[in-house]
Amino acid sequence: MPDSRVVVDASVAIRAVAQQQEDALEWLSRIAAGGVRAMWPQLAFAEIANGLATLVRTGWLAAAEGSEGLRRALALPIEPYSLELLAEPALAVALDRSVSASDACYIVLAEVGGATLLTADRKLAGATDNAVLLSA
Amino acid sequence: MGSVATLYVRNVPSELYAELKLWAGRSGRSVNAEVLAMLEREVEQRRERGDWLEGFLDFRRRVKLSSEAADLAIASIRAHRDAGL
Repeated sequence: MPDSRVVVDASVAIRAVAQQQEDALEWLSRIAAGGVRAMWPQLAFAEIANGLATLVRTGWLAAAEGSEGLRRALALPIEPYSLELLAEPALAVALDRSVSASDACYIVLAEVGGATLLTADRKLAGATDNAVLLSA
Repeated sequence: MGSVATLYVRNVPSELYAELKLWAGRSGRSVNAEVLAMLEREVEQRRERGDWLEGFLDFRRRVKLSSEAADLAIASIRAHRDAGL
């Protein structure tokens, strides 16, 4: 049974694909092994697609590689949480802390779920106390 | 069925055991059969997760994405988030 909970930011999934980014890959390995219960808002799917689209447009990935990357992200053993549930509390957090509603979806999920927020995004990491920043 | 083993589990919390009995009763199974079914589900999930990780590692090796490229993608995600401010 998982002994801890994490909320995974879309940036971690992108970072795990890159070479020499072993910290993100190590977290995904732990999640895959079932030792950590992982969650993310459904928003993460669109954000990962956005990041992959950027990589395809700038020539870092072929279009087929971008599609494959998204398929693999969708199959990640991470529990997706509906935006229908998160949107209202996320709005309250966004207004209270001057963060975007997108950032707030991750913050709400982590804080309400008693989970550590894993992110490679410095701004998101700074918006909640219980965050782990995976940085280069 | 192939050969079978016997597994003894010590120190099961009484609350957990009570829940196991409840679930077993609801599913019409013995506690032993209920635990076995749970273990089989968990093993299958871990196998699927292991398969996923292997596929992901293979993808990672093939695309050889640089840290610079990952930073670019993460920055594009950040830009969209900040557009909401």
